[in-house]
Amino acid sequence: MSDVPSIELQAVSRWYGEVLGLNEVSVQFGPGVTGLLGPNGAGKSTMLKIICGMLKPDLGTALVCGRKPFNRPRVMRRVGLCPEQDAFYPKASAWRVVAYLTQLHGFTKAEARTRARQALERAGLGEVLDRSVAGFSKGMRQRFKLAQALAHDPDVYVLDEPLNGLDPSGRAQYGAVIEELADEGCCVLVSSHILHEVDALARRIVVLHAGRVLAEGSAREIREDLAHFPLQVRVTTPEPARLASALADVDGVTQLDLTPSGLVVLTSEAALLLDRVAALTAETDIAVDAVVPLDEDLESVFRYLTQ
Amino acid sequence: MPPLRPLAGFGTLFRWGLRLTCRWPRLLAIGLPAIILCALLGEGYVGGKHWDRPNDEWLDLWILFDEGMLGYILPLIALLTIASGLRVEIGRKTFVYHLVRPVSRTTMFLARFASGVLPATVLSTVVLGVTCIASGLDLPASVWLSLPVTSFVTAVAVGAFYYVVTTLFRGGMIIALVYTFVFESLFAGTRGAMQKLSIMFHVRGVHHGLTDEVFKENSDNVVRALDPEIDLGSIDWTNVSAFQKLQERVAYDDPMSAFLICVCIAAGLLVYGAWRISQRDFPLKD
Repeated sequence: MSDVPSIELQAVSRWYGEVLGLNEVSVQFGPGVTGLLGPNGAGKSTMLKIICGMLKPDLGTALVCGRKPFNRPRVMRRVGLCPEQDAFYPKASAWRVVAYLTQLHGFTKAEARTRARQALERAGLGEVLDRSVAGFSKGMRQRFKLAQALAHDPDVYVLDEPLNGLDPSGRAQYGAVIEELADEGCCVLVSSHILHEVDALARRIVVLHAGRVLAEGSAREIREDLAHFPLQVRVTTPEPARLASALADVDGVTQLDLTPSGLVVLTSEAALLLDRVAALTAETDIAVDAVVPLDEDLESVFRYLTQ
Repeated sequence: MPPLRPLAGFGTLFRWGLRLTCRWPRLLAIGLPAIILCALLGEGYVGGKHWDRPNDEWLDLWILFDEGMLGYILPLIALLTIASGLRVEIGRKTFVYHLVRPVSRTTMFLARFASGVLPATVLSTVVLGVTCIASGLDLPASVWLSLPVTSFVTAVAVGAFYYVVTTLFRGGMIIALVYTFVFESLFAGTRGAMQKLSIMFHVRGVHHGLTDEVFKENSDNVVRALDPEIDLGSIDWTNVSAFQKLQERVAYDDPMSAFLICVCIAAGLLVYGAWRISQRDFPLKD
């Protein structure tokens, strides 16, 4: 078993009946934070479940620290999973559940209890250790899931949509923990369908779509790839027709739609469009109330990448 | 990294399973109706009037154990305490936390079974004990000592079947109920070696092997019921249907053989269940 925490997928495919979950995915993750980005149904959870030994790949090989994870509990000594599922014991306190799960790693009862307390405190649940998880808010449950992954001190972390339901301060705190783990040399894999979330956490991003790796690299590299991605922008103005004619000759503008909520512009050069709108408001009497990008969401990025 | 010890984590899983099974509301919901029912049966059925056989308190208790307790009540206790052990974890997806621990799936499977067997045995023993007390008969120590053995064998043998079907199949609870109320009765009602296909036939073998001598000593009717050679026509009763039914039974194995058969049935089922669990994918989707 490799000393360096690592995850490797070699041409991994996985079907659910006739539906393809993962399609010949080959990718490696080493120490540091890697973001796994993709819309719902992209295959993120399938990949994470294969890594955690919950699913067996139909083709190809998955390796965690150099070993196949499916039904190999030994490998799990080094893995901490924050699952996507909201799964809890209705009556048990957070501390008791984390202590129990930690004890399964071979720690004594006393040691497991100490570790559980420390992990819950690290995840920001120090004040509510003895409360039942069933009474927790969504954000607290996410922290609980992080705590149970931290308690046995693994070096491979698999965090499935960990920021769902967290408020901004919770996200910041969670992000700080993830950064600490990366600094400690752990391999941290964070999945999300929200671009800016992953952007803020990970130095490296893997974009998944329809079971395939679509793009891979740093956030900057992916952004550069998306520089000419056609963007829809809504400009709210009292004079949409006049503004439309003024923007028609801007480079990259391919479509102008007058809608009840404003002028919707389709452009592949968003920066040029914004410069022109700013110049028009300064040089002419056209008033602009708001400029809002309409499709910065991931789905539109994927539409572009798959074209 | 050292290899895992065999059954590493068994104790922790067992204690946690026991904790989940032995919640007071759950135990009361299962145990209280069973205890009340058995107290009423022990008090009312034993010594009561029966249309198909003579009045004989020892025979009544003997039949109550054989048909009521071993036929329905003990299997139902086993079903309610053992069957859902792992299915609940899978159903509410807390199983996901276990799959990423250095604990083999076989260990998880066996530990949760064991954590159901203990409360099922205790509860069944209490229920049988209540029946004996309510019957008002002066039972010797050997009968009292047989109660935990019968309870344990029932929990292990038929409990293993319930546990495996409910863990492996979504409709396992229904399969288990159909088995208890349809197939067991069907097997018990058939003539010849078919009866041996019933799990409870072998459990009854253990129970009868341990207690029949006491009942025979105290009741000639039990002797007649157990003797297939006896000429029922010579008995001065107008209706002997209960005896005919009892006499059509295949002779039980000796208690040790019956016990070993029960253990083999349970072991076979558990090995199969553990193998299936270890090969299975667990997407555990929301």
